[in-house]
Amino acid sequence: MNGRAIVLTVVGFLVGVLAAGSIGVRVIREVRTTEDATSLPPENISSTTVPPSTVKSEYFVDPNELIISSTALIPLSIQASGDEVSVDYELVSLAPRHNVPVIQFLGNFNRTQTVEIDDLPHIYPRRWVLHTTDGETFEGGPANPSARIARFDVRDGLSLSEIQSIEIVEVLVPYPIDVPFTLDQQLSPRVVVVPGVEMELIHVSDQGSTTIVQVAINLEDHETADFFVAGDGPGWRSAFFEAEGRRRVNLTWVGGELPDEIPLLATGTVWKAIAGEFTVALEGIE
Amino acid sequence: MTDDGFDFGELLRSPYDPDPDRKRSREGEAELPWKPAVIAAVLGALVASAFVIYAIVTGPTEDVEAAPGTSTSTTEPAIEFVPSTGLPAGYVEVAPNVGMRSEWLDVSATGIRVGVSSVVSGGQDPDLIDNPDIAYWELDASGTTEKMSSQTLEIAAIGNLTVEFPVLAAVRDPMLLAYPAEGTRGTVETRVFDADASVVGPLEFEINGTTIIVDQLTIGDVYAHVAWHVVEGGLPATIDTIVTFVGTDNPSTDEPDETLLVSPHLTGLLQGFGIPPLEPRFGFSRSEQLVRIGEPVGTGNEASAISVEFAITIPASIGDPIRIPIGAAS
Repeated sequence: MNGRAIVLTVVGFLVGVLAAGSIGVRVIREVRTTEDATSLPPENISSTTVPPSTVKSEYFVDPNELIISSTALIPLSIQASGDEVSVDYELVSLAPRHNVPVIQFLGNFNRTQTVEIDDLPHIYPRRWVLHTTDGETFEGGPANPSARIARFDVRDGLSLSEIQSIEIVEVLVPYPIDVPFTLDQQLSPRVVVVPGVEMELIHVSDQGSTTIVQVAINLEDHETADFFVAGDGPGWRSAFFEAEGRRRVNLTWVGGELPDEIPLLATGTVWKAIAGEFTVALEGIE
Repeated sequence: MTDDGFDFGELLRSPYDPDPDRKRSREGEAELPWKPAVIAAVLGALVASAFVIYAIVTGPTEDVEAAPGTSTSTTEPAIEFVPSTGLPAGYVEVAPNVGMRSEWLDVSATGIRVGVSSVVSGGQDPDLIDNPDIAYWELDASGTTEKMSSQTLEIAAIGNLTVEFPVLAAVRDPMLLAYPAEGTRGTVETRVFDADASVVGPLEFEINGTTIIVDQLTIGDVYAHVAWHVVEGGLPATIDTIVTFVGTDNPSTDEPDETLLVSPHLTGLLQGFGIPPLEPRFGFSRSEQLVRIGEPVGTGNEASAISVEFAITIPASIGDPIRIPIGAAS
């Protein structure tokens, strides 16, 4: 094949590509216009020459946010290093809170400590799943409700470009619960007040005109429930946790003879699961 | 082909066939290599067609690297991110710029609990908007409507409410009804008792047509307990109770400093753990342990009398019910 033959061959190839390509582009436009028209309002269907429209997407705090219950979860950054991927995020509560009093508690040495509302764990996005482009999945999540970083143990060397999506598949939200209940030394020394929370009568001792009642709070999952026990009704003085830090409460009864069925009140917070799966927006974070 | 001088080829040749003489006349010239060019054109068309078919089958290319607010796709509409001025999905407006949504429902042998969350509208500052007072809630289920037992506001997630209802025989297609409080009316009723009073009550108070009974107030040296209820037909209420040991004083301060027993939220402190310091929500009854402020009453710190203030608040009026679907039961 001489030089002229080669030139003609190339020209012929290009002519073929251009001819078929130009027809193909028109076909593609026609096909896609037909597909788009099915999802457009009727007024937009009449013309196939309408330029691509703009879709408005609303946000409350940040375009990358996930609204989970009354909280915006905002992914801030994502990093891959060795066999770990981590996602930093921020939680912003959207709940109305004007006139909510400052929350204080007595800390060590009777010193009053203040709790900032923004520091409270509004939600606990406990379980996350990372999907790779190869179809692998890795579970991860934050270490506790106060953490703001979700970590995944992945295969060594996984790069960010291999991450297809990240979903939050279990979210817990705190709610208050008060449960009156009774404990009986003989008949019912243990009572489940809510699923996963058991109250157990440990000890009863008379001390002169008062009676000390010791109750243990047995939590199936320490991350999803916080409870305290107080006396219910008249006859009780204040109740305190044991000094050792165990989840045992000492109550003082001053109402005369202690009833067989000891009236108590479990008060606290349970973390309830919120329905739904939430996909983390990876496009806008670094 | 010739046979006996007869040219059959000439006989069969069409008048439209190329002139063999002309062909022969070109044989001496350099012939154009058109066959490879035609084959190449056909191949090119096939390649382009293959791409076209691939493009149609696979659809538009997604631009996964696009930053929010931008789009480099030429076939998909661009996404413009705009601040919302409304409520997130599923929230029902219960007050100006505030919405509520039910999050879960639990049915047990002791009662029914529903979790409700609250949000402000987009563009509003949560620090500047009050959590709306819901006077009371009803649960509409299985054709019957039941009034709430209590409502409690969460401390760790301000705006999360747990609403409790009595046991129902059946719960089908449940719906929450929120009755918003429109303004409030308040009064403070004071009663004075002997210094050695330990159990008082019942006491009756009336405010704006609502009758409230304090069933029993038990007073100890460092503790107290109060139980009250609203008489049937009355509006829901909140009561803050302050027991003052008159004449007592903390000698370590120069200011008069009488010993008090008060509703826990008035201290602003978490007591022990988990006793909400938040203002109680409206209810039809309540049983409450009071918390001591100041020196214990006793030798050297005796009271001459006991004064008890009951700060009672009720809704000025109650708005029309707002229906909140219960969809996400867990």
